[in-house]
Amino acid sequence: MNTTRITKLIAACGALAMMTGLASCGSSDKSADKENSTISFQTKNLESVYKDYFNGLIAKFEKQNPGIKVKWIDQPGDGYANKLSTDAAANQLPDVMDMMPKDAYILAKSGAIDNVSKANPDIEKEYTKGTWKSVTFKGFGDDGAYAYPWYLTLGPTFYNKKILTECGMDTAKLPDSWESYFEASHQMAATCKGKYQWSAALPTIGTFGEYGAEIMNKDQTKFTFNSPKGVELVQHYVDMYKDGMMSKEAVAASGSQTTDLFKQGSVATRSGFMYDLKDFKQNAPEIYKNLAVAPAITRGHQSLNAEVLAVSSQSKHKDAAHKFAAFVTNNTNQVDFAKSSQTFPSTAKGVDDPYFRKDDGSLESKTLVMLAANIKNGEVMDPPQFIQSDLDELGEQLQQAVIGQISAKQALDTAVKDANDRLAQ
Amino acid sequence: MSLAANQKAGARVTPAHDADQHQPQKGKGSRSISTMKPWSPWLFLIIPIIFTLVFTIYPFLNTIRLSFTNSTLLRTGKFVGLSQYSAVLADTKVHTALLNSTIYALCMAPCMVILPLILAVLVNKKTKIMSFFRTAFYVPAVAGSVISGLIWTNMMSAKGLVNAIFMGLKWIKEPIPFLQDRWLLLFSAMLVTIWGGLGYYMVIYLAALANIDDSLYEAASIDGAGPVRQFISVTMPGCRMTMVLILLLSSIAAFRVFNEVYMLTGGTGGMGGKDVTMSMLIMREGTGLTARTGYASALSIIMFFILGIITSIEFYVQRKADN
Repeated sequence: MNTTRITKLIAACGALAMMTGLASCGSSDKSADKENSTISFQTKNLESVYKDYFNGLIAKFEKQNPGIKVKWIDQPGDGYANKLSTDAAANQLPDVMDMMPKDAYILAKSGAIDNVSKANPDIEKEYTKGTWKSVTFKGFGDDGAYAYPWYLTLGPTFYNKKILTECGMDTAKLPDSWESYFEASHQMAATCKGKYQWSAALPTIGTFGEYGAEIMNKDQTKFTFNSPKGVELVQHYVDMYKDGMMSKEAVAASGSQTTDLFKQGSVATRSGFMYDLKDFKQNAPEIYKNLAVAPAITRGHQSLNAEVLAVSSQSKHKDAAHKFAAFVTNNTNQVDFAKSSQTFPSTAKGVDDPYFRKDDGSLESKTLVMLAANIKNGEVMDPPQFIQSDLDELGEQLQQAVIGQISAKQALDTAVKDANDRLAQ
Repeated sequence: MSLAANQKAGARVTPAHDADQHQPQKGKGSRSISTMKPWSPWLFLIIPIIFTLVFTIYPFLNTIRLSFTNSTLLRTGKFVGLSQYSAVLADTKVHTALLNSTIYALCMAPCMVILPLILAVLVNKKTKIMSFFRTAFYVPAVAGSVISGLIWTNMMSAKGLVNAIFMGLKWIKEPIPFLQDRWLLLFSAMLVTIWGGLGYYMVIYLAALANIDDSLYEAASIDGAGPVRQFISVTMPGCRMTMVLILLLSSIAAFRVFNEVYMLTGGTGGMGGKDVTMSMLIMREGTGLTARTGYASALSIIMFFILGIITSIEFYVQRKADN
């Protein structure tokens, strides 16, 4: 084959490639949606337990929407945010993906996910006000909600009755306010110092909201939790440490380590989640036997943790993706999922289902009913603008404050300044 | 037929004939070097070269480029000159990380050069029991630093084995905060590195010891040298090149320490973030949705230069010693 013929062949291939490329550019999203479209749906660590639920859900959707196929991908929980970040950087995000509101905020800010308020303007009323608020972002031009609220995790305050009894405290009268909570810590210090601890967890950003301190200004442009109210909260923990009611090990502990300390039976209280009950029952039966459950301590709103579904702005089948995200998060499907997963629905009518009102006398059902009653009034306390670096910084500053290396005010001033600097970037 | 036999038979031996005899046989599939195309060697090199360019050279050059920008993972960023470097050098967290990594390297390098050598000398006998010990000492190297970190985290926690033993012996009343105190945690991490690295470097030393002539030990013994003198005057000079190699490898590895500290602190960087190391800081700044790639790149380049300086000093000292 001589050079001319090779050149001609290459030119012909190039022309063909360009024509097919142009043809694909010309096909609109809508026509693609109407015909065969395959959308990818990414979840976080759900396949091992809920495989049947999701296969059933997808089959139901595909039956209702002929022509749309859903490819389900489940990713491990560890490093999930890193997976999202590499996909986002490569413009290869799945069409529909599970994430937390703070991840949605970053992706929305960079234009990687689609504005739900624009794509689906009437859907807001389907969800509770608190959860819709958690996905509604301002401050970067295109204000609106950027994800569909999905399942919620929340929990009560757990108490170890054995410890309370040994320390001479009344297990029938558990703390119901922040004042009584910290007072009980002082009371326990008088009888059980050196033997037990009151708590093993430092406050997180959401705790400031639960305590009644303003976390951010109303324009969502600045963090403000270094207010006197915020300092007061941290000072309570400083006092708790001085009283010997929080160990140095607990101050330095990561999230999972604080659960372990409670399960080991040396800590009296834990602000936990509904799904902890199953964990205690299986892995710490002694703790489960002595467990008392009381409402989460808060000034007003129940704190919620939400998982949300976002749609990639690069999706070639946006309509289909929005349709699927709305389908997964509709009332019927959320209630079905909640029933099998010890989570709660974020839909406005979700907790009206009789399942969330039925108390059969077990600890689980009592807790479920107690928590469900507060969901409509609940809020996602962690502001999505408070990113992982801010959380790390806050944790480090609080550790230093609690063990007395710096004051509570200094710790919060540093955390707020750094968070505001990052917010402005 | 030999040359002598040929001469004896009157056969003429010409250079051409000789050359023909020494030429490789040309048959199916065989080709002489002289007939190979000049680009033939590149065929063997092309794949490694592509891999090196794509996975080493390009990322390195890109890191240098990014370090002069304010890029984040999701934003390309603009050229900002040296401002990322000045931000890095002014950051108190970087000062903490630099201090921790430097202390780690300074403490670990001598330990990793001397201790495995002593261990290698002790187990360098061809008996069954020594074979068992050689295997046993190598097991932590097989386990890897993450598993070692997990084991030691459980052992050194407030209710772990170490504190339980000390309290059982009534040596202490309160648990020692191995995993909470800044310096205790750093030294605990060093212990984990030593535990995991001893066996690995011991194997390298065993290979070096095999090259030392036994007659040197015999001569030293005749001269009245005891085991310590033999170690200093025969073993150490005999393994000098290996010692330099291990000094280089272990100091670089120690400065880049990540797994041990990460595991012992549960990924938090210790109480108040005071045990964070350079590698941990690079990971924290350079990964996740909020990654500051420009800043993390500047941090990486600074670390690269520090490691370059450490390596140069070690080579310089070695050359001086050789001269």
